[in-house]
Amino acid sequence: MSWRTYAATVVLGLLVGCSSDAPPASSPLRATDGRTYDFPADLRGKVVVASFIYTHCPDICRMTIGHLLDLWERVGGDTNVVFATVTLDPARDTIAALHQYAEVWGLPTERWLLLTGTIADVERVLSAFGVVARKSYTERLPSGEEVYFIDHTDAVFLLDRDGIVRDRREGSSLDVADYARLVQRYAAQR
Amino acid sequence: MKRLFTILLVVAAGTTFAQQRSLVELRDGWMYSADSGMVTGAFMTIVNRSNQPDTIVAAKADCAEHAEIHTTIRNSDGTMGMRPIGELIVPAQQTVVLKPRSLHVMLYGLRRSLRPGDRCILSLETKHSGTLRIDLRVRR
Repeated sequence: MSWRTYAATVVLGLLVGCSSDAPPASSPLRATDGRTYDFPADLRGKVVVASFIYTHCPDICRMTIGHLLDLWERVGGDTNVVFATVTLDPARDTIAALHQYAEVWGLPTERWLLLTGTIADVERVLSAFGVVARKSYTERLPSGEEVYFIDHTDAVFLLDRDGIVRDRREGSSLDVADYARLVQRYAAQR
Repeated sequence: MKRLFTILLVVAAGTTFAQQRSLVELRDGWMYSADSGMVTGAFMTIVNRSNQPDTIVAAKADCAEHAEIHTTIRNSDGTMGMRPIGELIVPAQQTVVLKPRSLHVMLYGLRRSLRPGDRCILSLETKHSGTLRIDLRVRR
C-alpha cells in the first residue's frame, strides 16, 4: 500500500468515525447463510452491527467476538437487528473456515452473517469502512507451515436502517450494556 | 502412637512439599477454545516470591505444535497487532499477569480441537526456577 493510499484510508476512516451521512460503498460478499450480499447495501432496512475479524487472530478479535456474543444475548431477539462480521483475511477465511469458526464460538448464524469474498472485494469493503488490515509478521512452525498475522483496526460499527454509520468504537473493549442501549435505540426507530 | 506417627508423617511431607515448591508460581491458567490446527492464546498469572528476578525463556504446550510469548501492541496509526517477545522478565517480589489485549502465550498448530471445559498442560522454562507447569482450562 502506497503512502497516498494509506493516507486516504486514514482520512476516510476519520470521516466514517465522525458518522458520515452517506452509507459506505458496497461490494459483493458471500455469507455463511449461503447467500451473496452487496454489503452493506443489501442489509438496509435492518440495524446492522458490523465487525471485522480474522479466524487466526488469537486476541483482539476474540475479545470482540466475546463481547458481541454478550451483546447478542441482549439484542439478538430483535429481528430488526443483524450482526455482520467481515473477515480481514479473505485468503484464509473461506466460507468453510467461517462456518468452523461460528461452530467453535456457537454463533447463531441465522441472523449473524460471517462474510468473505475475493481479496479485491473485501479490500473495497474495508476501505469503505476505513478499516486497515495489513500482514505483520510470519511465524515458521517446526512442521514447516507458515502462519502469518495481521495488524488491523479494532472497530465495531453500528449502521441504522438506512445503512448510515451512526457509531464506531473499539470492539475489543466494548461496553456491552451501553452499546446494547444504543442498538436498541436505533432498532426502535422507524 | 499410631496416630502420632501419622501426624508426624503428614507434617514432614508438608514441610518437604513447601521446601520443594518453587518461589515462582503459575496461577489461574486458561486459554481460548479453538479448532485443531488453529492458533489461540493462553493466559495466566506469574507470581515471583523470590528476592531475585526470574525470566521466562521458552514455552511448550502438550496441545500445540509450538508456543511462544507474545504481546499485543497498538501501532501509531491505531491498528492493533501482536509481536513475539523473546523473554519475559518477572521482577523479584512481583506478579505479572498475562491477559487479553496484553501479554499472552501464543499456541500454534493445535493438536486437537479444544472446547470449553477441555484442558491443556503448558510448561514455561525459566532461567532460575526450572520448568513451571500449569493446567490451562479452555473457555469461550
